[in-house]
Amino acid sequence: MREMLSSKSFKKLICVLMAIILVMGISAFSDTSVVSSFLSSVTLGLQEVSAAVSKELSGKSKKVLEAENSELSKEVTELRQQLVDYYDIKEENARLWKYYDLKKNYPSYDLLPASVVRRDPLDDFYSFTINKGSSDDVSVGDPVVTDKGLVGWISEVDFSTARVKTILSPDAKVGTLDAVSRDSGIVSGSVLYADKNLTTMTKLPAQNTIEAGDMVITTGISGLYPASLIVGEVVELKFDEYDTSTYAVIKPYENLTTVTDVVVITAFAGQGEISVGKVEDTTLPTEATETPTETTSSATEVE
Amino acid sequence: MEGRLKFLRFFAYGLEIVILYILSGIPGFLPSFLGNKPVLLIPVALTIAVFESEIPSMIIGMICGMLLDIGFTTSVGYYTLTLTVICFVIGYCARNFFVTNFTNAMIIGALTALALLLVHFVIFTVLAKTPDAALYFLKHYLLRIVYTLIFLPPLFYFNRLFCSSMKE
Repeated sequence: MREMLSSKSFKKLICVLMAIILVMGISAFSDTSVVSSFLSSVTLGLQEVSAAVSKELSGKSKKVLEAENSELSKEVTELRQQLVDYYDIKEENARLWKYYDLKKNYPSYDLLPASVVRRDPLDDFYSFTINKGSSDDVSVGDPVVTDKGLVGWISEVDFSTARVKTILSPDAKVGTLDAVSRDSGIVSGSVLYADKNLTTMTKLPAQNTIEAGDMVITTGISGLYPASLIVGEVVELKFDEYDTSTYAVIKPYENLTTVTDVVVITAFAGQGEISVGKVEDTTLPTEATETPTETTSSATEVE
Repeated sequence: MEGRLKFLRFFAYGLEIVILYILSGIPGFLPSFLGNKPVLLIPVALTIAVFESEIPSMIIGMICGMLLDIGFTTSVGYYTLTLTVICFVIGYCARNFFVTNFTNAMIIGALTALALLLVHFVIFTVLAKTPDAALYFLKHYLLRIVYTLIFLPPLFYFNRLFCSSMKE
């Protein structure tokens, strides 16, 4: 042991450790670390390759591929040149349509489409990395959505990539309300439900009238999330044995464990403005448009 | 000749690390076991360290740690520090104190991986006051440790192959 501590190699180890600690220190005191930005830029290419491979592989068995192949062969025979790049264009088109629908539903939002480039095996709450960063005006706290509803928020940003934490994470604190009963609560992930793509709505009023099947939307009170973003659907009401309160189990409409294309809301009307004691009476998008909205008790969005 | 072999060996290690980093990050590629995926870069760093001396082991540990940290949090941190130190110690001990064979490598690798993830659990879950920490440990950390350790033997033989074919 003493021999090891007095060796030249050990001195080199100490130097390396000091360098690492210095880098950690710099990262801690700057919003966007130069080192992590550099390394993320280097690994972004690798991550995009892996994401592309994954998209190719996901959910297609040999049978499906063969069926698809024979179908494509027929179409190719019929349409010849017209079908060159058909699937690429179709996929791109579908993504742009989703983006267009979102833009149409939320005209006041600045939307930025992004692709998931990495899902890290160390994360249990399905957070992921997207291929947009501070160079695309993405900043920490920006909401991340799909056409089916809220996915999460930007937790860390570097120059070319950003980390997204999902609403399955216990770190999530999103002020929400039941679109039918107008009961408010806080959506926050739970270890119990995250791996089933479920989250929870806590801090419910004791006399709530929430029922399974109700849609849950954001309140927009804190200015962190726009009002009336769809969060998910109530699956069931549960009783917490520890604090004798009830909470609702929420199923997001989007499968957050496998989502590959998302949209970042980089700016929206009312961003950063705290509306005390009222909920903006905005028209709900898509299927929520006919749900009557009215002024309710306040719910807080906490980050 | 020796320099060329050394270069080839480290090039192969580098390639192995990059490929495993990509594979472990591909959504849906590695089968998840009850929602858990193996952390492949830990057994890679440990199994390389048992075949190399302390400085190369330290560098390999640092690279693997950085990739783990950047993949997880976009900043250098826990895994960079711990894997750098652990790989250095393993490299030093492997050169001076014990014979590198399968049994020794498995014992050291298993204990180290276990310790790494346990300390991670204590710092980032228990001290961070994550709710349901015990359940979290059972459902995620424990299963992840077991799943990660499954990859120790194949990676040991894989790296021994590199080492024996590219070392004089």
